[in-house]
Amino acid sequence: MSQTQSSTTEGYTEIGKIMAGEASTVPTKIVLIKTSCTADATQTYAGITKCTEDGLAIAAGTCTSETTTVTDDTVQVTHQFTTGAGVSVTVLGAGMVNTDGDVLFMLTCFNAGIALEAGDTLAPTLKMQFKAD
Amino acid sequence: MTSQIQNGVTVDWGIDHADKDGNLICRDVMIHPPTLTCNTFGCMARYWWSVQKYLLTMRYHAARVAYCEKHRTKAMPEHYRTGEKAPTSILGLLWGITNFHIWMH
Repeated sequence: MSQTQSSTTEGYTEIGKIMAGEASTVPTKIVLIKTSCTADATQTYAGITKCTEDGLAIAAGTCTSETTTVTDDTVQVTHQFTTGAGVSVTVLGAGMVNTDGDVLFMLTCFNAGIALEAGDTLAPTLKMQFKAD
Repeated sequence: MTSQIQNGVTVDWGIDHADKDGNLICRDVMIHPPTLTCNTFGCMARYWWSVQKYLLTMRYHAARVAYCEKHRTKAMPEHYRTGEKAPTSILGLLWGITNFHIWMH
């Protein structure tokens, strides 16, 4: 297993709606992925295998604009998950999700499975950059 | 193995895994793929070489993360857990990958 990552088609659709002022919500949540993880543009929120264990379910993170190439050209979402008591699970990836919890903007599959035990913390930082190279 | 750049949108990520006492078990970050910026033979040869290093670097970090996750309480150099000071040469990467696999068990 080596890392893979991708933005998604359903994310592009949501971004288009956001820019057009149509019904949509911004990326503010992070979902953890278990069991199997594939990072490509066809992935959807409904299609991924989500962690639902205590402390590891989809959660609202801190969403900010950051500077990568030009000022504020990057949206960043961070959150610290704390594994609940009695939980033991291997997390394979993470994704950036909208406030409504139904659109996956981007996802990543980690270099190797992260074996979480009770009390462990996992702090993902996910970014999407909109730049003009 | 993909790292997709589509329509000007790029993605980036990093994670920190710590135990309940706050001790870092493993840090994993995205390795950015090389980009082809020219079309001369020499440039393409350098690009091909950098792609090989990119692929090996991902293999190195995959082996490193798996090793740290398996040996979460074992004493080891801090840079194994942070991923810093990763080898930059082909030989160094191959040596690192081999060692992580040997000492995994």
